[in-house]
Amino acid sequence: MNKKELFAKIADALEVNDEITLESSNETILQWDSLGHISVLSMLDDETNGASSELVDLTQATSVKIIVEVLTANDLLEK
Amino acid sequence: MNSFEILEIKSSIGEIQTSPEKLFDDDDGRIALKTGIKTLHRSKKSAYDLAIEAVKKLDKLDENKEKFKYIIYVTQSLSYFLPNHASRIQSFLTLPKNTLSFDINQGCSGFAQALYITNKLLNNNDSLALIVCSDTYSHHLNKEDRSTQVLFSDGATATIVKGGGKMQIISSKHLTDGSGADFLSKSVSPETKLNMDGAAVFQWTRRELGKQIRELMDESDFNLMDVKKFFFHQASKLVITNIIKSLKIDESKVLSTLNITGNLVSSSIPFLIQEHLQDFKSSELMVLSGFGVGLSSSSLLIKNV
Repeated sequence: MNKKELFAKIADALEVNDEITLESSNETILQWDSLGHISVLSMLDDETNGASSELVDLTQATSVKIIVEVLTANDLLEK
Repeated sequence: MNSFEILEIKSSIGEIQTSPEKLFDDDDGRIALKTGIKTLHRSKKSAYDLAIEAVKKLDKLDENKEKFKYIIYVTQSLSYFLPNHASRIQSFLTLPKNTLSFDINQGCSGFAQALYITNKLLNNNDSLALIVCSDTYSHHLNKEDRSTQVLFSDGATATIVKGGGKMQIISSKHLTDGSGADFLSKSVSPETKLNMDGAAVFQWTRRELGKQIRELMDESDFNLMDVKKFFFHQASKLVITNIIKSLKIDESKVLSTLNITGNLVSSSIPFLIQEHLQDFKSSELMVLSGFGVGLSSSSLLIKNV
């Protein structure tokens, strides 16, 4: 999964039509509430075959920027 | 190997019906779509009063009173600090005084743990145990906290278990991880509300439950494909869908009551069995799995012999 695909999948998980950017977060997207965040975690779990569930930092990662950083640091995002 | 049989399960679910849409004006059905929970049941009664309602519905109690040897009451919604609730149940039902009666302070994995203990205690003896589960988490929820308000319902169940039946627990796995205690917690102070870090509980469940169920199967001569039905704690659709995906199991084998009750905490699994009693009694091989607060999880592989 690359960044562009990640952004599209976050939009799907949150069920939003807005364009997802690196600046998107729970403060800019209304649907990114607690349930929305679990939907994002579930999507990441699917896309990484469960590897993302080992990353505790993702539980508090309520911005695209932090998600990208955590995934990149753990080699789960194509550069 | 010990065997058991579930003779009867009765329930008493919260008398006030509500829904995510009714609780939150701005919800357009999105919450129910994600959680799978359309109806929530709240009660103004105490957990103990709901438990009494459930045990009063038992049909097979009066004719078998002298056979009861054990009473286990599972709750995290204390109606009394002391004595334990199981003692009050013994007195209310006029069950024999030579019963061993105790409470288990446990939530969503409580029924699986109580059934595991009951099977050991009954030890193939032709005697009976009563497992009562009851919780009223709604009494401790923050009104503004969507993550908990849209999940939890109040309810109680009463289950009569007989020793020496057709069912065997052929494998069991238990996990306690107190490092996650604060992910779902409430202090004894009445002013405090229940606190849940839903994302952390979700990640933990995804990480640990699939592993536990695979270990459960590894300890037996069976594999996941052999399992006919899965009785999972009814946490939420998001959690259960994730478990199904991680285990790569057939969704049609996973039973659900989420849409009609919400998350009933300790009563979640016995209510699920009550609603699918025929499946429970006739399936050759089943997985029963409770998980959540603690954090904890208990999974049982049950074979119908």
